[in-house]
Amino acid sequence: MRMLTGFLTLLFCMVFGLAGPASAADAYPSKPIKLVVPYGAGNATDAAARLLAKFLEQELKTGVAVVNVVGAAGTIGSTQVLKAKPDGYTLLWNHLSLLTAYHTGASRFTWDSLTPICNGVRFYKALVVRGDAPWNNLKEFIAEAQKKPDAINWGVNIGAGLHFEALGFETMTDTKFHYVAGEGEADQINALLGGRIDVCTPSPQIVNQYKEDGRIRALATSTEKRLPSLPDVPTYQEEGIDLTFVYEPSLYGPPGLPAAIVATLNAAMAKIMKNPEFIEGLAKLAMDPAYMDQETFKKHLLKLDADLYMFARQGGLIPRQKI
Amino acid sequence: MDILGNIASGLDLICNLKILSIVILGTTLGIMVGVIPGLTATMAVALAIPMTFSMETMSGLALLISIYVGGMTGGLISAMLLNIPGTPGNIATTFDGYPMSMRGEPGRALGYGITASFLGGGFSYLCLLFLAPAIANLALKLNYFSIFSIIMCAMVMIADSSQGSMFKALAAGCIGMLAGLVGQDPIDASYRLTFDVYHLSAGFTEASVLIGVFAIPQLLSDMKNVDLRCPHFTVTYRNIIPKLVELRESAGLLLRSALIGTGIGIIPGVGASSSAIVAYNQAKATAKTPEKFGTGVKEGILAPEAANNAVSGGAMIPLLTLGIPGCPVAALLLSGLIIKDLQPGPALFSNNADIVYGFFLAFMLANLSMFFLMLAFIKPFAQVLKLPRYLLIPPILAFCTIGAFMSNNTMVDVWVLVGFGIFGFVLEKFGYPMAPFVLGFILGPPAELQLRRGLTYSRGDITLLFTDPVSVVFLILSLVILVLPLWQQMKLSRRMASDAHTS
Repeated sequence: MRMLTGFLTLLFCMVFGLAGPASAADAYPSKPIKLVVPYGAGNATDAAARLLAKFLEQELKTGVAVVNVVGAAGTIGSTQVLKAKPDGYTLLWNHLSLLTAYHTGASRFTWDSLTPICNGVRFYKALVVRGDAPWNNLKEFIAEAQKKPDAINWGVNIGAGLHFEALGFETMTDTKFHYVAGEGEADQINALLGGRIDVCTPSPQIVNQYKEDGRIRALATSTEKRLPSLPDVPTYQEEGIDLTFVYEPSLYGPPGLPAAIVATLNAAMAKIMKNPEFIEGLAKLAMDPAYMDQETFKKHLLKLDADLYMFARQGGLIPRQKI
Repeated sequence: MDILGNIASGLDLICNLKILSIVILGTTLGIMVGVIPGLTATMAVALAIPMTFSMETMSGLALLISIYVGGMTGGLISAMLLNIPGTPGNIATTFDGYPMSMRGEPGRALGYGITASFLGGGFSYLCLLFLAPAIANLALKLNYFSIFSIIMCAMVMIADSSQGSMFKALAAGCIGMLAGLVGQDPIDASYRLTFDVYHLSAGFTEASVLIGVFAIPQLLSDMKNVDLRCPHFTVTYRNIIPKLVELRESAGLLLRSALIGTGIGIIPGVGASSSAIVAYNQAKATAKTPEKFGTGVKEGILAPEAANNAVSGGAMIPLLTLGIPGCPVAALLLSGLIIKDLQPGPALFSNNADIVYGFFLAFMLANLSMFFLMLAFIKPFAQVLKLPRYLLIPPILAFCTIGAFMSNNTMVDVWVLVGFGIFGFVLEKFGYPMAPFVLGFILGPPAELQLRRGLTYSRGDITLLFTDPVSVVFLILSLVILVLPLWQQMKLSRRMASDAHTS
């Protein structure tokens, strides 16, 4: 019995260890910060958040707890931050799904309802097909898609990032694909290898995983410049398609976050983004630092939002009735 | 491939005091998390990931793996002693585990559970080592409709294996599926049954529903006689550890259950809860005295526990061979691997054979450590039953609430827990079993997802459901399971009627 109580105590410590007591200091931050990740533990956005949290802890000299609040394409977690007190102790780590959710009607707010703090890191997507697919390069792929609209199966998560990328691709190349619903990357690769879809856009890492095996081939990447990890794979731009599609998990705060707190966080983030250890950690996740200060970030979001809106309109993605 | 040489190099990585102590720590943590309903292995592994950043590759992986293995097993303790499954994988364990404990044999019940977990886990890790590449490719070929039919089959099986009226069990399963519909549509993300309540837009949280319908009704009925204690019993190691003869007579059953678990583990999105149900059902179907199931028989414990632990090895197969995580924990391990500069995927086996074998050995070691730790825990844990209920109910309720809150860090989940608790209590009073309800709730959404995905794939054509061979086999099996008991019952009542007529 004593053993049992011992364990229970230990567990309590584990459960509440994250939330230490708030000391009554005036300077921010004086207590642990909760970093909300609106996606499940283990995906790319979450992995980046956990890495960042470690460095933020060193910079800000306080605990940074990554909290996964999952659901509704990231909307539930974002809402939690939207409704939080603007004291800088609840922050959000989200990417363009915050914007797409608004265009599809999944959420009632978008980036400007929150306080954008700064841009964070960046990861990419590669357009991949099976190794035995008949298309040797992007041009052949597009030609076939133009010839046979609605015949090639493209794996997407309907209404979220992958879907918007596919819509963007359709818009820019004047093609039409048949969308097969899937969830994350794992799902897509499974369906691709199993022959249920013909094309999808996972992270470029997958391509490296299959380099020797040859069962998956990349036709293009959605980046501005070729990726160092995939030097042979052209970008959309190189192939004459005016499309870049990157995921940038970034830092947001609740609406009305005081400028002083934004400045403190920006200073810390700017420093971390130059830390070679952090960059090395990101590289392992196939990500790059993409820091932008608040003003640049806001302009960046404005443009991104306009692009996404255009894709949604041209792709016939009619906003649903908003809840 | 020189397997022995690779194992030796893997052993080199694993066999040192540091890794051993990490594994023991990890399994202990995992077991604790598993015991508490609502706290899952996934959560614990996610919390541990940042700790591994500064560790060596093998130590980090060993920590994550041992937490996972411990977490998969810990749930059987609360399932058997309190009738509250610690994880969805332990639902079937309550059917026979709890009756056996209440009969005054908690040591024996736990002993069976732990041994079966150990053997089932071990079997699946061996599969992982020797058969991984071959089976992983087979699993890829399963299309959406096949997976849908497999899930449906598991749902029908639960209706068959729960006590009481099959109609009530099916009804409870349907209500469960209905509860699972709440939230966002899995395909186009539109909102269903949310009644404009924002917090329902992600649906009901699994942990809250699970704890709600299992723990709360149990605690409420316990409150009726707060002085209730278990009959006097003693737990000795002699009655904990199953005799070799007993295991030998159940060898076939254990093997079948472990195969079921490993097989289901490989299929993405099906999970430990259904593997345990399927294993329980086959145990009942092949038993000489199926009517004794549910009263606390050995086979009813061995089968689900061997199967739910075998899922862990199965789930690792697509991760290591294809780089595709089949379950949330596998996804976390994937990020654990990547951060260590390892590329999971087909090349992992040839490029980093030592890590693969280290992975396998870490699983084996964690399994072993789980076995001995659990044996050590049995005595103190079984004493819980000697406590009067008025001492037990408050802390359990507190832990349930924490568990519900922790899954999403929102208070709403706690209210969902309370709501489903009352709902479950009322339903149980009218004889509707809760296990089919929960299975319907847990498996309804993936079943729908697979079917709807399949329909986007087939461009709206449903015929593939009835022409795909795997799908057809499972649909027929479901039908047999559904119709056979009804037919037997009809035959029985007709015979009774004619008997009454002639006499």
